[in-house]
Amino acid sequence: MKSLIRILFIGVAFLCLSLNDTNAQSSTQANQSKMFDVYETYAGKDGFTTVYITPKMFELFANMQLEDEEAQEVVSIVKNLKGIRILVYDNEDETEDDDGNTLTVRKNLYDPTTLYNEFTNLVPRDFYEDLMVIKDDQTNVKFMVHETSPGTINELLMLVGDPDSFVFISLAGIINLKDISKLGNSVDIDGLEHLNKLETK
Amino acid sequence: MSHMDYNKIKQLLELYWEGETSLEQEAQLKKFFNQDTNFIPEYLRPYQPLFRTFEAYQEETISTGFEAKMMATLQAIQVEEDNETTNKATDTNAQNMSIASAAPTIHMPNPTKPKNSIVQSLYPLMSIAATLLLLIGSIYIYTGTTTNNGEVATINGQVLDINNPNDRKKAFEATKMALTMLSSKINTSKKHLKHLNKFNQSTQILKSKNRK
Amino acid sequence: MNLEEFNKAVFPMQNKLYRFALSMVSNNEIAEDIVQEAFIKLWKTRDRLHEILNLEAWSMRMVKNLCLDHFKSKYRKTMLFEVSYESPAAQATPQKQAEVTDTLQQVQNVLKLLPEQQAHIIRLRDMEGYSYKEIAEILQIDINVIKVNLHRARKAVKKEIEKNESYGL
Repeated sequence: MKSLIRILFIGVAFLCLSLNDTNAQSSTQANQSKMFDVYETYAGKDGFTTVYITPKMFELFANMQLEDEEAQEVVSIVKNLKGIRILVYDNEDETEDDDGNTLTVRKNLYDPTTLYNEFTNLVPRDFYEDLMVIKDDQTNVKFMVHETSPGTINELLMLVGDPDSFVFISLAGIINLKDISKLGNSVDIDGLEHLNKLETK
Repeated sequence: MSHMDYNKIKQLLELYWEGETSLEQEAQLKKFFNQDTNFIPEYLRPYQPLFRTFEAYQEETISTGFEAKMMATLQAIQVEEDNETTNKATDTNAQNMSIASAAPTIHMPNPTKPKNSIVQSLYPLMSIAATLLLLIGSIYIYTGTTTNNGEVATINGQVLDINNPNDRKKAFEATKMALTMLSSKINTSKKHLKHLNKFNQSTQILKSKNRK
Repeated sequence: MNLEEFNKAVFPMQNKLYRFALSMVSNNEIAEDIVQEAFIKLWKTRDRLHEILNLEAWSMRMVKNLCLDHFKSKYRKTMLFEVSYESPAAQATPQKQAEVTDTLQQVQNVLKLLPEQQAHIIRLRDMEGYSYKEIAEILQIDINVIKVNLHRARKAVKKEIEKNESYGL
């Protein structure tokens, strides 16, 4: 009986090792794992939207018939990306009353600032360092990077917490901040407005 | 169709926008607009798609297998419901029996202990095996969250299909949105920092001025 | 009530319920799932079905609510990113001519611009041919409100059509 248990335990240990070997390809994943546990916890919960896209999908973007310049710029950026993960918590819901008036309802399922703090605390500081931190009286924005060598960013994290939303974006790959910042207009668009616009289509 | 008929249609259409048409009149309009486009005067053609849409919807039907599938599902539910009621019945029977056993000696077997002695001796091993399976399972799930299981993209956990143009579009839009937001936040953050720098500069100047 | 009786009472409504769901979710599979859900719900309360005065109105209302739930649910978030470059009708009605499907999409878009209640009223009136009284019962709103909203909805649709025309769309 005892020897059987011993064999079983050795077997499991072996499995663990082999699984880790094939999966922990880069320290990236090991380090991101804690954050992604939290990410996975929230994915699928009411109010949350999560998106995960890999290079295979990015490759296809290049083949899409894209008309505007901005779209082409997006394609040129994603060519160098290994992956993008997005998690958004939107505290507001738009509904309509019987007269067809739009009402904005606060879900209040989660507090965006608390989410912001939770995620921020989970980011391993030995792997990522602060790039930019902006604190408004209502909004928190944090950019963090992982550099393989000075000036070469291969991972970028953005966390935004404002009264009505929390956004977490993670980009992995060869990241050129200059190219990315050329994308948006210089006008500060509340990114979530985009989400809502797509919704009404 | 004669000139007069077109006028009639035009009038009906006006009533239609006002919400003043009867169902029969609406049917007339639908019938008119469902003709081939060539029979419809140009000034009325813009409204053809609307009425055609309404007609098109009328022709939508649920898939042919639906009814059969539905009947099977409902039957299964009924069976489940029946089982629940019989289980409840046996439970109450067992309860009644145990109450009865408190009274004059009625020997009732204890239903929880397995009678079979072989089964009994295997229990500890089975529980270890179960724990191990759970452990292996959780390791798999754990690594699953941090690795690409061959998925190309997911939205809210739902895997997108590379071969589906709509899925590709969705993925693209999401990417574009994320990058655009990233971009605009980077830009505004930079602006904030610039202001901060200016502020720092001006305080430095003030300080140095004060020293003089 | 046994399955056969239920069948007789409920199944004749299946296409009406399906079309209504389809007009809201624009996807055959989802629409079918919703009708299935509705039938299951009805089946589970089959012993009380005879208490419902107008089963059709009741069922249509149920479908409407299920569609709304669908939009609120997890799946909805996928639709947050939904960009329908391809007409859903193209997938839904392969037997229709190509020219209809483009404009079908256009009309769908127009309906989506309407406030929810108005869109429902147009669907029930123009797609299904329900009377004002029947619509009032399905949506559980006053018949005068329906008339007013129908007028508003149609005017909005007209405006949208004419706007698209002037843009040469």
